[in-house]
Amino acid sequence: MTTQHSRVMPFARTVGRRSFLRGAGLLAAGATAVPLLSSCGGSGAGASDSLVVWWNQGFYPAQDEAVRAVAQAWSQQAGMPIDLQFYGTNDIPQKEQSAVAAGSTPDVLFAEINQSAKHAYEGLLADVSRVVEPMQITDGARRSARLYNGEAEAASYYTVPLWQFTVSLFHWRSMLADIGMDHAQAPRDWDGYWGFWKQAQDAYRARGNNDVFAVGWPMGSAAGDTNYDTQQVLRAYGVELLDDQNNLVTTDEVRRGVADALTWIVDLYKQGYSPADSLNWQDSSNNTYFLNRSVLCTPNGSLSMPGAIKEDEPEKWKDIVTTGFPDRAIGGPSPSITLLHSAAVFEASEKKDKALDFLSFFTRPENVIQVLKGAQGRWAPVQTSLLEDPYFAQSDDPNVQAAIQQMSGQTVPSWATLSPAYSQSERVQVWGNAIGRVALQGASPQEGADWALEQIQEQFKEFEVG
Amino acid sequence: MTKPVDERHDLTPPVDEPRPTRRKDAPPWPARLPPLVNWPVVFAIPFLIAATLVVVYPVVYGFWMGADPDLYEDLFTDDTYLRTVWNTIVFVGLGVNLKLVLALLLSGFFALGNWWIRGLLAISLLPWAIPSVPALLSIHWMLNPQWGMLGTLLGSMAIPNPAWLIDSTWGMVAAIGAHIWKWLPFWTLIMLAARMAIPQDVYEAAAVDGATGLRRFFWVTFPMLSNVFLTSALLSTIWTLSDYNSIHFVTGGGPADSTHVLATLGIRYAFDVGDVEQGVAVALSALPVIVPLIVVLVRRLGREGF
Amino acid sequence: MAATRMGSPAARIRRNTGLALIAVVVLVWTLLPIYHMVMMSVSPSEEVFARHLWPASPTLENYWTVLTAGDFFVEQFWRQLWNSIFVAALTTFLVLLIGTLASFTIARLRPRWGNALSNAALATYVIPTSFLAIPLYRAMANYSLLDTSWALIFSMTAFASPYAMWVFTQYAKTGIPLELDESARVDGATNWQIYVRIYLPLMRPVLVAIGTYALLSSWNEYLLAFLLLNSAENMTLPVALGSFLNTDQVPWNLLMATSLLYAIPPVIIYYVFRRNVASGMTAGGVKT
Repeated sequence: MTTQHSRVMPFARTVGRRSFLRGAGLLAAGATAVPLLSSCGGSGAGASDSLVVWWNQGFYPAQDEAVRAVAQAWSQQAGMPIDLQFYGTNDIPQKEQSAVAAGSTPDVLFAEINQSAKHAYEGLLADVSRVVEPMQITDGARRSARLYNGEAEAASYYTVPLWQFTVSLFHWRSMLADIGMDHAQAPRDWDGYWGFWKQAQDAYRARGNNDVFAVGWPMGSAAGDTNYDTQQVLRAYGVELLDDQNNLVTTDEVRRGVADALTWIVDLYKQGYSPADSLNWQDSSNNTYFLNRSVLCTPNGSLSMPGAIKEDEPEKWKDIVTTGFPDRAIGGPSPSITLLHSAAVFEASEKKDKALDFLSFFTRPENVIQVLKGAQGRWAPVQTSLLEDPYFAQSDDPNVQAAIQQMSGQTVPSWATLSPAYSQSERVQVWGNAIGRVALQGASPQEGADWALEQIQEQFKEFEVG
Repeated sequence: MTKPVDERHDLTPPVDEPRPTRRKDAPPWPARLPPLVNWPVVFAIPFLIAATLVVVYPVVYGFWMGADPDLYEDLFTDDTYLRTVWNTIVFVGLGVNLKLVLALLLSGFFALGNWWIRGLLAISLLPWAIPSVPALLSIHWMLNPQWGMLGTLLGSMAIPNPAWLIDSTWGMVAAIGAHIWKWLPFWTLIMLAARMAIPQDVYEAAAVDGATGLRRFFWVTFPMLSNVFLTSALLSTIWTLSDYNSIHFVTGGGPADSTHVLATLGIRYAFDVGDVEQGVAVALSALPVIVPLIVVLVRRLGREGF
Repeated sequence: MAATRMGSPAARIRRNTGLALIAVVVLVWTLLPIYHMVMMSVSPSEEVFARHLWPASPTLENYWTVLTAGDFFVEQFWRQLWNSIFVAALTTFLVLLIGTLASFTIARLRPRWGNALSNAALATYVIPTSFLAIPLYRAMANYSLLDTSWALIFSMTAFASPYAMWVFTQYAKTGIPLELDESARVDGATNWQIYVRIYLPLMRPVLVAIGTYALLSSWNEYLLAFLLLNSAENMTLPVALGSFLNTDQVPWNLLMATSLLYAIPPVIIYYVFRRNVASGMTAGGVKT
């Protein structure tokens, strides 16, 4: 997850626009500037006869290879050249945004979760029901693809779910063993479970170790983690922020639930069970603290932490344990928040049909699994058949197994996937700011909650539904 | 309001200014030149193009993007923005004043000019010579409460490590400190150059009148430097206002967006939040301060150089 | 060298102690972040979080990793280094070209609008760039230049050339007699010939000064580079350094090794051309 986007997309792709601009440049710049401007083209260009696809660059080269292979196979089958371009995860959201702003969108876009809802609302995305409806995918994934189009004033499928990941908890087996504790003994109820970690920290303190904290809970207003980790707590306190129509719910029950969740998070900070600077953590911070064994456990989206050391430090890797969340504070199992990577087709594309074909082809289980294998289990499939596939269900990686188990249970799509207004609230970092208000500026949790809900409500005013 | 013309007067030969325009009465013009070419324009044209495309057009574009009054209504009811305005005042106010006063004092130290002081001067210029991004990243990590070297260092002297990046106030202190670290050498050099330009006989005359030590500083040195000091303060105010890096890399605007300044908040609204117009509005809201500064500066710089 | 007043020995000792004290404070203040950078860059991975003032087993391995692009984070190091060099070199060239041409107009050809242009340029010079960054970004999108080095080159050129022009004009007005032009003109030289053969060679010292200034400022620029360039193969080094922070985990030792490698060229240039840089900064002539 990234926050410090900014920056940009490549230059316009449409030939007309390019040549117009070059003409303008010529006029304005006079003869001296011509060679300069005309050499500014850079990559891509002239790809008008091929399907332009912007894709996310995988963490492992094998993933990109697999994507290339699938694209190649489609290209041969469809008899259409494909212009496949890879961009880093941190760049994709910004690319999407600026491509839209500049009107130079590709045919197929690998869409990071948070902007599709907005672009669907604005009527920029093509209806992809033809691709999604036949897919055999989890409920959470299907729910996430159904978005509201404010132009057409109706909901439909606007994104094609590719794969998913979820928020899990991570801890070090040996750090618990050192103080004679075992995760198997941890109670399943919310308070009891976190009490277990606090007890572990207390045991470290009793030994004079002041550097280890019970939980590394991201609370910073510059971290994307803060958004989904907070959402997990909100869900644990029974907050259902969106109704079936993706409208905001602000009943007293929700208000109280939000306040309770904020109380719980801020107390971690106030009672010293999360490092003091977790209030200002950036995306990398909880990983850093965890991998340096300064926090006993931390939540994180995707399996990037074990993935980071699997190759180089296999011993250390074996020591990491991935788990789901304990039962909700209001009782009952915690649903796993799924975060999706999906693809979208732009309404403006002249090759919509081909683009849909490509996505249908790509999401066939036999194709997508090649890509997922290339990603070495970092992403989990959305196809129910693949979730049962031995590659995942009986993975030799216990972390993958744990995550697949989470996703085979009850899953809910992140609110950000569903609502452009909520997604915008996340970009404004409403939770990081609400936490900051309560933790630093002396607001009460209820004040913090009401402030946050008010901010979210503001965002919903921008996106009238129905 | 003198125009920056005076300079021209003492340099230009009073009468026949060469007017390389289409005038027929300028005989030195080789006949083969096309008479309609306006040479001054031709030579200035690359500059004009660059300025039009990269400065004028974006400025106009910026005004257009930020023209909606609602944007400002939103800003003035936005707690984060109001907090940011205050932070900006603190950042610029403390940053500029501390930096320049320190520069003034340090320039006195470096003006002593022993061999070892000259060596020290060379070393003290390092922060200016080093690009700001690596230096600020280093400072950021140095301040980390868990592993930062500053904490280790202070700890070894039994001094408690302030909550640098956790507390808004300490965050601002850290960012201002980083800004001063980076820019102090430059202004010291400016002040030093100005000091060196004070003729020695002024001091000697003052010494005869009994001005030594502190008195000398207040009666002679400072009055002689006041002009440079004022121009520096104005210029530094503008540059400090626009310092994005010190905040972005040291505190990142956190915790809870409480250490932003206008320069960082505008970028955050435009690109992280995705509300470009609001970002422009943040920048434009500084105009009442920036425009007068620019006007005064252009006058001063145009008239008397630095 | 000024008045080292001879006082009593006690007074001299006091004075020297005072000076030494200032010197120590200045040294520690200046060197602490730099020392930290060096310390981190020679720390092996196991010692990045070791909390000491110097690693137990310092190593140059991080530099080797960076130079051989042997890690995910520094994969594009050489490419990004090249981008930085390319941007800095072209910006410098363009600034010198545009600046001298424009100053030739104002200082030598002296059109009536020369002063107006000069003032307008000064205004451009003092416009805070981070406030102009958003519309500039949009403008570059309209020019279809985003994510190309040219976006950064043009921007840096446009922001640096007003100052260049101003300094050149000052220098030319005071340092190069107009009579030279006139006699050349009598001999039938064109404006262009005067510019190339007389003007440019005589401007040499100030060209070096402003060249260094343009080179360093474009090499160092972060914000505009960050906004205008975003794919790993197009970005300049400072953007790459900044983006380390957005990754899942930050390899601080590699980051600091890369930082130092990036910081060393400007420091060398700076010290080699120190006199020029200093005079470039104060070229308008510090007047009291």
